Amino acid sequence: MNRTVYNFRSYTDAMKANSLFSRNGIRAVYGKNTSPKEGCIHTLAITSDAKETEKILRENGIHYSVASGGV
Amino acid sequence: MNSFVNFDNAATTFPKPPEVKRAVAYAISNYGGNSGRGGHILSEKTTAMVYRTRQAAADFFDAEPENVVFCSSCTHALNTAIKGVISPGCHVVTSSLEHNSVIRPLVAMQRQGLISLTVAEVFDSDDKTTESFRKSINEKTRVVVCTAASNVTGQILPLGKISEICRSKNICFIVDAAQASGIIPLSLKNDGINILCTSGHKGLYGISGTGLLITDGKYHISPLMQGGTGSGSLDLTQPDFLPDSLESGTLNTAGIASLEAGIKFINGISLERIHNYEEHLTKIFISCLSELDNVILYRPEHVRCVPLLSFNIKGKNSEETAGYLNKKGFCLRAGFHCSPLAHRTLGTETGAVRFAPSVYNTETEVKKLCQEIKNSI
Repeated sequence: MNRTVYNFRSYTDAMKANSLFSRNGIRAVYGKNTSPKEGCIHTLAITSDAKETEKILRENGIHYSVASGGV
Repeated sequence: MNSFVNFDNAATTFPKPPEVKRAVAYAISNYGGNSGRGGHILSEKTTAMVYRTRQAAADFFDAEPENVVFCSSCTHALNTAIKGVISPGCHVVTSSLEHNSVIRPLVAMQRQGLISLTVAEVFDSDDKTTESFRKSINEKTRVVVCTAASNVTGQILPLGKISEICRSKNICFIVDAAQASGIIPLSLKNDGINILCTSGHKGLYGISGTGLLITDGKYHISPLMQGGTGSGSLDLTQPDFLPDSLESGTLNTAGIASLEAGIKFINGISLERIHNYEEHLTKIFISCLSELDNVILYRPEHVRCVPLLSFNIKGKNSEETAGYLNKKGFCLRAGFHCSPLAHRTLGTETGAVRFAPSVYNTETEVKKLCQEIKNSI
């Protein structure tokens, strides 16, 4: 299964996303990363259908970017 | 076992529920990371707990978790809200019952020439109080900030009616919920509150050093301070999104853990049962004191109140009364309760003695307190 990693601007956004994924039966692993452009970023890695996860993020107004994988 | 009884729960609730004490002890021993900062297990555990508490507070007050901001106190939350929303030149309306955490920042801004301020008189009638607010608002009014419930008389203001006026005129409505949280239901959506500020250590049964600012997101709140947020760390400017924009620096981890436990404690009993029980104790107290000719009770009769009130024994300084009760093992606060406007309205020259029970007080304690008050006359 493809692995997708999402970047979030804050840990609150990452935690909210994680909570929403969990409610929809999607398992995500939280992590922290750094980028030369954004500084400290908070990540969630999933192995579920990226279309579904990105729909959840968009519908709930959560800012994110795709670090790898994705739709 | 304590040899004293706390009836000063309006200042801070004590004792705390066992689960709150356990949560604080657990936090100190286990939440050893800084929330949202490191990528290691210690930080991750702390981050998860902080978010759980944010969600719990959001559910409690009917808001979104990202719109819950942890503060060090209600005063901190109110200063953040008031100074963050108000722009120079605007008119602000507040009430004649306000605590210094509301009135002092407003008067400071007024004296700096930043705002004009009107104090709306509060009456023993919701209709008259609402009309007072309506008359105080003018075309330049941008913010109304008032208490949900007085920390001196317990009077609950007609928030629903005031919020309707604010909404119709696009005025930001900020509420000081320090005495109402954990006692009466408060919903940002249902009560039309734009920004709610509250203590964590009173009716929410958390520990001191905690407060909440909860917003519906409609009004931009400029940050009171800038600093590290664990986000956008290469940017030299403060993040412009909540809650990070208003949460600079390390959070009070143990305090936040205590809030999570406190909210769970309240939900486990229910707001209604807590309110009914404390009101029952208050009614016993009022009934006892009403029999005495020498006692003045300060509590309105025709409006809703939270379970607290103040009183005086005629001819006695309030500190004298409280000092006597202290020697008998009863802790009550005397003086002006940081609410000069309320006391000015009541006409109390030496302040008053405040009775403020919690879920941990009993009928027996209230009756014994009443007996000691009678003995002191």
